[in-house]
Amino acid sequence: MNKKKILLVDDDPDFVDAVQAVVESAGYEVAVAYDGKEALEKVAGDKFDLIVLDIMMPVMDGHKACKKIKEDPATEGVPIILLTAVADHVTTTRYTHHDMLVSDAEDYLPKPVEPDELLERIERLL
Amino acid sequence: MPEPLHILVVDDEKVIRDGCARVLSGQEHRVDTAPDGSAALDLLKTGIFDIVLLDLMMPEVDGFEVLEWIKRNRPDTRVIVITGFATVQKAVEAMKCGAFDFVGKPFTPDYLRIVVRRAAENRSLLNETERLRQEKVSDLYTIAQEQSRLKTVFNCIEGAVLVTNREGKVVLHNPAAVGVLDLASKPVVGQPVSRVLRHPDAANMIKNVTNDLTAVTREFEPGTLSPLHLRACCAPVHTATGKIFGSVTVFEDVTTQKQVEQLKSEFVSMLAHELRAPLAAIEQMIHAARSSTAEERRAHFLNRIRERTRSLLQMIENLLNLSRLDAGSTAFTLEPARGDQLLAEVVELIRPRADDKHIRLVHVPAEEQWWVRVDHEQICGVFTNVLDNAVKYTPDGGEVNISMVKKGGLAVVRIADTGIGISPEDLPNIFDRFFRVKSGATRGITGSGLGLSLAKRIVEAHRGRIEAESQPGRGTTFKISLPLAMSQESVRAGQP
Repeated sequence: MNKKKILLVDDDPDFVDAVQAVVESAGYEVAVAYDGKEALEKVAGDKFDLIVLDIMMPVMDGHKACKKIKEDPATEGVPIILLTAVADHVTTTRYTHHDMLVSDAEDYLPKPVEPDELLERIERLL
Repeated sequence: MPEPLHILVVDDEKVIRDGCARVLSGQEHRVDTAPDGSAALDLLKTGIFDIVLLDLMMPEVDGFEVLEWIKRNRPDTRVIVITGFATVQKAVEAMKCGAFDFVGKPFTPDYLRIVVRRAAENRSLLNETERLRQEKVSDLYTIAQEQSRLKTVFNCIEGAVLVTNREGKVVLHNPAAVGVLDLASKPVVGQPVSRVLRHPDAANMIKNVTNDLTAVTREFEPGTLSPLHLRACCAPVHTATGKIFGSVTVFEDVTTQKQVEQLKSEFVSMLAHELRAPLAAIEQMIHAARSSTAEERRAHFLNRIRERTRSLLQMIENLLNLSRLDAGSTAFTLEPARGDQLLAEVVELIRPRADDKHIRLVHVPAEEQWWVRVDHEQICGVFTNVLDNAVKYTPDGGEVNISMVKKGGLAVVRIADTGIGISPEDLPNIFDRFFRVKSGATRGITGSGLGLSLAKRIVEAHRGRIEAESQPGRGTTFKISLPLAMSQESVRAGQP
């Protein structure tokens, strides 16, 4: 059986490494990108089953990348989990609505993410 | 007791002169006498008399001539004419010419005293009147001065001051109002305030304040009343019984204050992000290290966690140093230091990190000894920072050169690397707080984004400067210029 392919996008290499380790250990194949633009390039060149996308990134942020992916008929079906660095509970709720409203991401998670929580969300969307 | 007066008695009859002198001297007055007109004039020209008793009928210079002279030259002096009954007509004539009173011969001592006292009283009344008049003039002068002072104060007020009457018309404004409120060039006094101010909210505010008799403070965003951000304090003017006179409004320019607040809030959110991102990465790595089964992977994450934690601590340290520099509470201890020795210390500190990346650190000491007056710790911090950056942003196997050239009283230390370089767009920003070049080439390089802004502040506090030039892909050169220390100081420090 083929492994599901996940694209992981964040500008902090340590963060990417750590999430990659967790996701790979659950049996997924992981590709990485370090900004929105690079993510679009990866998406154009390969087929992914799911994208984990950080919002705050240089060059092109997660919102913009998400919008582009959802606008493209070739990729609009790929589920996206948005990550935000907001830890505070109150602002999280606000961000949830805001982020879900302005982008068509399927789900969202605050950073840092609990490994179990992340894997559960990924599973749910696949 | 009447005040003592200076009296002149002019009469050709010795009996009269002496008689008068005796009577008046007895009253503590000082009395001079003159036997004729010309002697009287001599005395009048050299002294000031309060009262002159003057015989009209004298040989040669007669009384009228003396009277005329007194009126012209001593207007304060009271003249009492002495006259015989036969010449009452003359006395009347003399009164017309300005004599104060007359006594007819013969006269009793009491009568003389009465006439003199009357003259004295008249004199002191007139003096009092004059004193009051002068007091009034000086009061008026004080008021005028006070008014002019208030007017000066009013005109000097930096904020715009606008005074309206109860009909809402402008009755007064200071010169600043024209600029601050961007008033139309034509005179605004007498105009309704709604026509003068560029936003209806301001006119309504003044109208409401005048109606409700309660003071109001509100702000006007840039572009409403003027290009400035204004804070208006509007207060009604009324009597104790509530009779309305109008309103006074002061518009204060708070643009700079608002900009500072804005910068502060931007800085705080930037700082929050700069702290949050590494902490999120650290926590994520803790998760990964925990769940990792491979020992090698776990060791990698633990190493990175340590690295990121240190970097965070360094950032906080830098932040505190910068804030201390901003507040001016950093004390610099300037001492003569041998330049190349200082650089060598820093080079040895960085060498292990350079060795890890197989980067050659080349420090070429100058031929002559050179000295700088610096705070050793702070300047070492600057060189460490720049050298550490050079090693960080130079790929493995590169080279970093450290050298010094003297230039017009300055020691210019060059730290040149063969690293990835900085693009022309990024170069002007590298000394900004939290600025970090983000690209594929800088990925994984940790830093606080504060090191160079701190270095710049410290170098500038030493009256030096720091600048960078760069060729992307070829390398970056930092030049740190510090004033060379006088040779005398070197001597004092016990060095050749």
